[in-house]
Amino acid sequence: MKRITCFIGVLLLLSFIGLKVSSTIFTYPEYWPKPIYDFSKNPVTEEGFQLGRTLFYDPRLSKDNTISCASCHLQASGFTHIDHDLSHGIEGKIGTRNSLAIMNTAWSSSFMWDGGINHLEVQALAPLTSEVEMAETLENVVRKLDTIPFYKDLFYKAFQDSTITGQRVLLGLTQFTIMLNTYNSKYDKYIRKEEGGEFTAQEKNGLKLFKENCTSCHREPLFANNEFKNNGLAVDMTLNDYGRMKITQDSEDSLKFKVPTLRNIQFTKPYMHDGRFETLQEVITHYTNGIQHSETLADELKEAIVLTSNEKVDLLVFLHTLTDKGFLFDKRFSFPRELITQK
Amino acid sequence: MKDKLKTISCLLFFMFFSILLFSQQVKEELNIMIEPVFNGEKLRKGYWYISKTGDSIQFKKVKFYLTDFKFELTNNTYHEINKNYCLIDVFNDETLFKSLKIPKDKKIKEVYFSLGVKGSLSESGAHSRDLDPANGMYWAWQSGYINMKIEGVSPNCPARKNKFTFHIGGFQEPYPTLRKLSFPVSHNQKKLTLVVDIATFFDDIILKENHSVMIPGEEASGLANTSVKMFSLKE
Repeated sequence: MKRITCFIGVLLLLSFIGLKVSSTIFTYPEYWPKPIYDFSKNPVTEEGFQLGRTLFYDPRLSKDNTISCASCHLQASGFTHIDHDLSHGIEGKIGTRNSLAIMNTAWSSSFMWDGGINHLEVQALAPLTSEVEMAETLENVVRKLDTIPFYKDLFYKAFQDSTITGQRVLLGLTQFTIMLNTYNSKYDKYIRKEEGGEFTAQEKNGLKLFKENCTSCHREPLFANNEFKNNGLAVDMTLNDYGRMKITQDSEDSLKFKVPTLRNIQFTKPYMHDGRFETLQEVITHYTNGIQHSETLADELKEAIVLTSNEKVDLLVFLHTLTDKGFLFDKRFSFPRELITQK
Repeated sequence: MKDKLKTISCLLFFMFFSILLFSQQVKEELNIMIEPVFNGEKLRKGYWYISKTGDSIQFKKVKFYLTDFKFELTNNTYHEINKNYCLIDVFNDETLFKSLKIPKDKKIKEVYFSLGVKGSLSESGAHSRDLDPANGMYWAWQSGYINMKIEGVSPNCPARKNKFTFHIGGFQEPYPTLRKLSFPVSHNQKKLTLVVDIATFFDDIILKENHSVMIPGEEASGLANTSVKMFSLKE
């Protein structure tokens, strides 16, 4: 009897292995922390990634078919809206915040400047439905995609079922955005002692200054810490944006915003939640000379950061080592040509 | 060879699975009907109703989640229905009838269910079927399910186009909006009718003053308490 049970058990296991379709293509450096995203329910496959990539670049996701995710998240600028303090949506409507860069999303515990979104899979709902962004509904996106044979095929490849649902649109988008990983900057090569990672004396000093003054919030290796801080910016009276307080309705969260990653910071300008600083020099000067003191100011900024002008330059030079050109110009993340040829 | 082995293993797997199924208790169907009314009168789209506070009301949308049905049986055991999330749209008859499997030859003493979606589902990304965010019952700017939507018009309502909008949701302390309900069952064991009297929701609402709730918080939590009173069991 025992033998038979054992035999059935083994066969059961075999049948399960046989049914397993494909494994994840998501990779990261082994010395990095474990991702926060739970891949078990949505393992990343090449097919899912390609579906997500097509959706990401498709303007059909907006109400009047004019704007895609990529309109405000351009690859060459680390998937943010370069040169726009506030992003604009359909019909030229202007939003209230600077679009965030999309990088290393698997390590984020919340999304948006105020952390209002608690899971990557539902993040896309915010820009999709915002009246000043894509102004569309997920229900209608499903309806639109459902009429396009090309998409039926993409969904079939990704989910072994051509039925298009809201959940699958979101899971597909997730499989693209979660692959936007950057870990091959000069800094990374320096850490891994790889070729091309030799730091100059200036860069080394910049890293030292960074560790002394910035790293408590912009923590390595992600250069973010999944927290919300008031970094001493004066309130812009034209926006009156109090950040995280809107979500938690707690006055202790007044003026707190997500600590963004500094990876590829050289190209993600302008800076801050309202895009008020055009250059990194302005940002550094804000931290040394511009901090506005208020009840909720981050403890880390209560004591003034003092840097000489030479040190400021060194810090800036170090920040440039966080640029990952391989990521910014990776063809796998760029506009899929099929989107034009296939209707 | 490999294919053969796969076929055999699959066959055996299904045999094993069927044995498992048959060894389970014998089940029978229990039908649950949802009956939306306004002061006892059948709720219809495009009809005018008058609330206790004197507001004339016409409904455009009434949707809510009924989840996690559980039955207490007379032998003091519980029968839970797993992953049972029903989005009820009072103007879509298809959603007003639910058929659940319960153990045969066991009497039901009490029925338990929740009004709303449990918090863990609001924190775990995109779900399917009735929980698919494409149903419009998921907040975009602040993650979480909307447990109930009541929308319509009233001449007394000062909002744009006289519209009132109540979106009740939020899962985080101190203002979670999920509510648990239970009703004793005595006679009919095959069919339960849940009456939902929308009039109750408006008993303390004066639309001229209060016509819009669309964020989690104290107000939503208070309205969730009121919502519970809309439900009664008719056997």
